[in-house]
Amino acid sequence: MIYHKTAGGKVINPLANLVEKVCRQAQADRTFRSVYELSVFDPILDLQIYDPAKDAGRVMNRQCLSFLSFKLHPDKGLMLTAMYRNHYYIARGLGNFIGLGRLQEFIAYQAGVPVGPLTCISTHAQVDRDSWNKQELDELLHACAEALHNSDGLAVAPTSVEHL
Amino acid sequence: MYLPIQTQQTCAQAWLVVVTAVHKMNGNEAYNVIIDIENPLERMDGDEQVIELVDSFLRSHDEYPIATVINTIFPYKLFLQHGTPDIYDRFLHVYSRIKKPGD
Repeated sequence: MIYHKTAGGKVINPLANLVEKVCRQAQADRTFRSVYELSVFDPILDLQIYDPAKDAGRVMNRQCLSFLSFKLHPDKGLMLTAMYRNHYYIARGLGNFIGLGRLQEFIAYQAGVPVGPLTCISTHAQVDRDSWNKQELDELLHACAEALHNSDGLAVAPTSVEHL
Repeated sequence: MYLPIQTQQTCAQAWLVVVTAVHKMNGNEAYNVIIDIENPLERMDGDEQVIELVDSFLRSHDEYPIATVINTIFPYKLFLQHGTPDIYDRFLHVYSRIKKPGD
């Protein structure tokens, strides 16, 4: 979630503005499908609210999520394409995917439309190995593959992350 | 120069497929990786195990838990607790408490 301030100190909430636009269009006779864009100047690393005067020149420690584009599809509902300038797949990837899905749910719920597919474009992706070695990572991936392989494929209620 | 990943049904399945694909690349990195998740809210029973495995792995290496990463994208728990539009004010309130001096 991001906020910007005008020169006069007025808070601008881009997400609230986008939700309002999606809701208005979803209920309109003629729906614009592809006019819902959100540039992101924040979260992921440190929850800082972006200050253009202070942060514009920073090279390190910038947020990784760059841009969000929502589409209102007549059958699939609210689709999302997210673009990352850099993506750490182990430390962040899974949480990012789930979080983006929940953002879709938040907007779709208010617009009264279903949640559609999520597409993620990682313009640079890394299987990060800063804190763990190759063997530990291989064991994790093997255990995850086993879990999916042994799954009976039944859908379950999404409860576990709530208490993580 | 891009790496397309076949459409997956859920977030956990997509994550495992894309990590496995990039892990095989030279230098464990790739450019313009495209991941498509058909139903990002759906969970199969194996997905729950994957999420818990990854979460335990991250915690054991002093990384942010998955719930924290999720909340940096969207504060879902605040939404469940306060709904809309109160979530926006609540987020600013929480943010002002955790904000570091000088930020």
